[in-house]
Amino acid sequence: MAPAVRIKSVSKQYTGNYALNGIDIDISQGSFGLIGPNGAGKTTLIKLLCGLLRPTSGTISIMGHRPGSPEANASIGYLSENQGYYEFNTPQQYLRYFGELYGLSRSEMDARIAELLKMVNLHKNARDPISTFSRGMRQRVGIARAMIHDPDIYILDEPLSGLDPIGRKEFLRILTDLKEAGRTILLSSHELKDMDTICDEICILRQGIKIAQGNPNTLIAGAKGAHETLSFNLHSPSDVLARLQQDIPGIISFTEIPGGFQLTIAHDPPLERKILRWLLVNKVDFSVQKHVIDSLYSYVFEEQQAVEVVDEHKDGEMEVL
Amino acid sequence: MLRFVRSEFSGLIKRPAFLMFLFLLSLVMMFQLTYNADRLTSPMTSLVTTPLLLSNIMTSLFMAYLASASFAREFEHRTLNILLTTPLKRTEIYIGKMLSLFCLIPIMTVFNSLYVYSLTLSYGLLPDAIGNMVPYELGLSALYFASIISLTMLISIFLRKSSTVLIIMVVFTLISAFIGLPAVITSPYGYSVNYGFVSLLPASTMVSGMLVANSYFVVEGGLVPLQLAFLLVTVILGVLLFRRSELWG
Repeated sequence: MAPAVRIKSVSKQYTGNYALNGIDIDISQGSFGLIGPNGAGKTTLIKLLCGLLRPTSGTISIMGHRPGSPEANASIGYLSENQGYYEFNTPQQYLRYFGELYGLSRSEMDARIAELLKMVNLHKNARDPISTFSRGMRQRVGIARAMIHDPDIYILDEPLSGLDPIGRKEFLRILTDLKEAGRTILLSSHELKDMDTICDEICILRQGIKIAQGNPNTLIAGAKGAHETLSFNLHSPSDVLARLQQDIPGIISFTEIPGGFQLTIAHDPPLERKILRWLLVNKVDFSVQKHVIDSLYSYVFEEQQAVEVVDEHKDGEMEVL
Repeated sequence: MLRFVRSEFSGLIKRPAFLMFLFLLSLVMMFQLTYNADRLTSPMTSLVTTPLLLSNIMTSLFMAYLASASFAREFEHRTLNILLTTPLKRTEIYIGKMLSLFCLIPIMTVFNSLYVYSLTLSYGLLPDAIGNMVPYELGLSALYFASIISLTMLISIFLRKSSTVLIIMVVFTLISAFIGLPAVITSPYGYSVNYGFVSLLPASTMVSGMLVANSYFVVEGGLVPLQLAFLLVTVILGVLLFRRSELWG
């Protein structure tokens, strides 16, 4: 099956600087994460995919069409970072406007808008102006707008940034539903939290260059030194932590968080089970977070920096010679 | 594209600003009607000239406001990116936005015609010298509004800031109007009504000297092709720039 999105040797230059340099990515069905720090080129790549920018060199195809063409645009649903809205519109009016542009008939549109508003849990706010909405609610209006024409591909630029935990959870639920419905999702983030749970494949960008790509777990397995970590957030006083450390050795680190402590341990199922049991037996109030990509991300960046230091060293030697 | 024009147009006429503008304009013209009638030596001329001239200045400023709001504000509010990812071609988006604004022009023409009609109901038929010119004035005004919209959209592509675009258009309109004043004053034909409108043409900033020197050219509508050319050039330039540039990126 041909990939939904094909990016071949794509570079983008702004006034002499490369925002992207020789990127090759094929994205098929499923969810794909673009990860990298600010300035890595994620947003530039997304804008190229949507036809908002043109590549300096290389080619991109969306379902076999040129980005920005009506055919390509009909198959994508785009949600940009810090997206603007027609503030005085209600979600209903906003969705109707875009439904018209996508050529939906009136009856089709009414049914679709009702369905979407329910899906993004905004049906009770359907007649409130968007200007009164929180960031999380706006993001949900945005994803509903991206879904209005039921596209094959969703391109979401930093969709989770700035969302509170509840908004984040709601948004992840929508993405999971879309993924289960067989849609292709491409999302970018500089925050790594939750990307490992939603993404089948990730690509790590740094300064416009692809430095790693693959399934998060495969990358973890192949990355020497990188490991899965598990965090326990303890909402308890410090004496609990002292007792825990005494009873169970092997905890990597703990940091103070508002209202308690966070323990981080390396991927070690027996140890994880031991800690869990201890917390349950001692009736400690806690929550659990699993980080796969955080450690991979750090590992890849450290490796990359190490390679650069070696390269610089070699260049220095060459100059001396 | 027709659906887009329809959506945009219905959005424009539902704006409270549009209804407020029509209300304000009605008040201004009613005031002119009662204020001028018994004070000027040539009341019928001034009853046609002044309110319609004022209406044209106000309408052109309002059109500039709407055009800057519908375009530069899309840049400012980061909504244009989303519009550009719909299946509409860029040319369709640009022309569609422009056409939806053009659709307001007949409303303003009807509004001005109603004023002239109410004038005849109140004060009897207009003298031929003025009455014959009215359709011509209304046509020129319509052409002028179209040019203002097109020019505002063209400037919006460069500036992307609606307040700056609006300030430029206000200055431009007022300069055009004042440059044209000598033509009104020195009119050998006495058809000041005509000069009042022609002086508002964007092209008049360039050819105001010609307006004064060659009144016959103006009265006979010689500036219409010039104005059409101005409109056409701004539309073509706007479309080309909008299609080619990455200003929204």
